[in-house]
Amino acid sequence: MQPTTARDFLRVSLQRLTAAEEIMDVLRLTLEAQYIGGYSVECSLKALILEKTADMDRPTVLHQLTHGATYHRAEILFGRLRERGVFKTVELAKRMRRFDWTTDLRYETGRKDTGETNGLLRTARIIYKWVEEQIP
Amino acid sequence: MTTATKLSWEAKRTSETQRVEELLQQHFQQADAYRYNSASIRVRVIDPQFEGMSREQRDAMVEPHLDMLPPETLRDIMTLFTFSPSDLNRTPTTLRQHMLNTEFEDPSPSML
Repeated sequence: MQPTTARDFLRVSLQRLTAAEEIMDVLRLTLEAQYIGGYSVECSLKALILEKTADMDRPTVLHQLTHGATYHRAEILFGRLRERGVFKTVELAKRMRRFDWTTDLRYETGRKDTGETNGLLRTARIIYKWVEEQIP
Repeated sequence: MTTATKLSWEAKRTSETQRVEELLQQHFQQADAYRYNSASIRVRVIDPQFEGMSREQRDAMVEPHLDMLPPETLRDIMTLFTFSPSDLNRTPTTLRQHMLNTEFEDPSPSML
């Protein structure tokens, strides 16, 4: 079932994140861990966008967030958050500079760098916590 | 790179991103920066010093200079590309690499 509330998106985010961490810790599949882990960041940011959207606008925004490739991109999602008065921290921005995840990872084969993968998963965890703190 | 493509990102330069370029140009051969949207500044640094270095090593050379910027600028720098001149002449090894390089030079609409 499609997520419809901020809490729903946060739940999806956590499920993707824990799956990605397991894929990394148990199976050591770096590319797959990055691919799944990136969706956690996407869902966390979407959760916060919905949370910061006025009730009456939520159906429209929900439709936008769940349709189209544009809303896979962190730059766009942070832009939507800025419109809602949410500013990322300097530390978060620094982490995002390393986060070059795109859905195009689905076409890649082979492995990714282990350190890079662990970094991406740490970023996903930090963003999850940052968002969770802002959703009552 | 065509002139038209180049202009598409150059038109997005602001006084704030020019300050980023000026700061980095003191230390690196080429630095380009532009504002992609209200929450994102993209930075690209090209320098022969990066030859043979990992991405982490390259970033570690640039980040201390970025730290000199005001926090309101620093928190918007979401993209940092570091290239050696030979990287730009080489065929990208992954589709993602190709997409990211292309995206810097020919930014897709931000819708914001």
